[in-house]
Amino acid sequence: MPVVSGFSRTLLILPDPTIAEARRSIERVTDEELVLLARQGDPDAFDQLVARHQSAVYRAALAALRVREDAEEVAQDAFIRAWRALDRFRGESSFRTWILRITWNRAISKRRGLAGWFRRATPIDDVAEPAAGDDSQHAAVQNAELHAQIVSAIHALSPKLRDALLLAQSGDYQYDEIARMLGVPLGTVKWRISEARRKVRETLATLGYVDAK
Amino acid sequence: MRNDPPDLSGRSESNGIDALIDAAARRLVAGEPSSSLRTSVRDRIERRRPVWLPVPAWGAAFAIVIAALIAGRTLLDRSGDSESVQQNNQRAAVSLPAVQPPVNAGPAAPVRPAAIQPARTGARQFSRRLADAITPPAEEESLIPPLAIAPLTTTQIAVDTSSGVTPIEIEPLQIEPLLGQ
Repeated sequence: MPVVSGFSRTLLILPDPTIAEARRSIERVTDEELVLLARQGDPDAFDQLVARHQSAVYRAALAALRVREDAEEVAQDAFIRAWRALDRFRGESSFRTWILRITWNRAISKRRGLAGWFRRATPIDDVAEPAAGDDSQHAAVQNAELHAQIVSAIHALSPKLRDALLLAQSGDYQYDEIARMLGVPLGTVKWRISEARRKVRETLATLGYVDAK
Repeated sequence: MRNDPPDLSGRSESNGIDALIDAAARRLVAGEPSSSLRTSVRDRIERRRPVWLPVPAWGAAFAIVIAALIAGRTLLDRSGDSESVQQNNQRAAVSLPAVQPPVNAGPAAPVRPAAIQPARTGARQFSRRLADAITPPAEEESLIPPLAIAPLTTTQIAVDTSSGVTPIEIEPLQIEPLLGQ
């Protein structure tokens, strides 16, 4: 690992200090190097880590909380906690796994809070008609009523089943990452996702949308 | 990084509705964080630094205040010492003559300054004031004329041996032991 005294200085010593070169240089720096620099107190390095993982962190929080404002707040808290705890990060897992684990724990703590429960009791914006012309998957969901029923059925799932399903569908995590985040074996994650689908299908069959099989 | 749905049920006919379920779930967690997330994190990280930076500054300021207090007290003590020395000198000039023996000046000098100065002045200052009180000022020595004392003269007393007095002769006592009664 090349010894770099500071992320800002890494940019300064570029042979061709153009923005494109700088961007290429940033992309070449690994998470481990950024963590090393951030641990030395370099905020630019940590800012780069935030830029790389903010989407995954935000979606993990959103999967747990389902309220965008709460998810953003938890994502912010998770990054701040990670910044404070960088000295305790031993590199046994990747930074991404570590920050996702912090995020998930924070989100679950918030979900257990009474204030969060009241906020989640209100209808959320996602129970809406899918946007037209999105992709083939969304085009298939032309019946807004069916979509709303599916969303309601997902919300009615137990937290364990719903968390696994939403994390899997966020598109940000592999199953093994979800397993590490939730602290359960990989097989349990797969079973929960399958079970979540089965429960939703059951609900839709009860409502007469699909044939009960 | 899309995961393939784990088809544990083995029922291919449910794939259609599963696709709808997955699409609905995907929409629930779709979206990007606002642009303020990154800047907020950055601001909070940057804000934490000044929380720690003033600690040495506050410590330095506190140390300066303490040092100023100590220096001020020392100066006050010194000025108090010089005043008390002057007072002692005046008292010594009034109440203690220069020729007075130290035995008489001893008790008078230490008692009154000790009452003026607090106990924190210590034994060193006490002994210094005692010495100041005992030793008269130089200018006062010049004002008091020295006493002229005539040297003592001794006269021989003459013993008259012509009076005829004879010395008394005393015989030694003879003690005889008592014999049986």
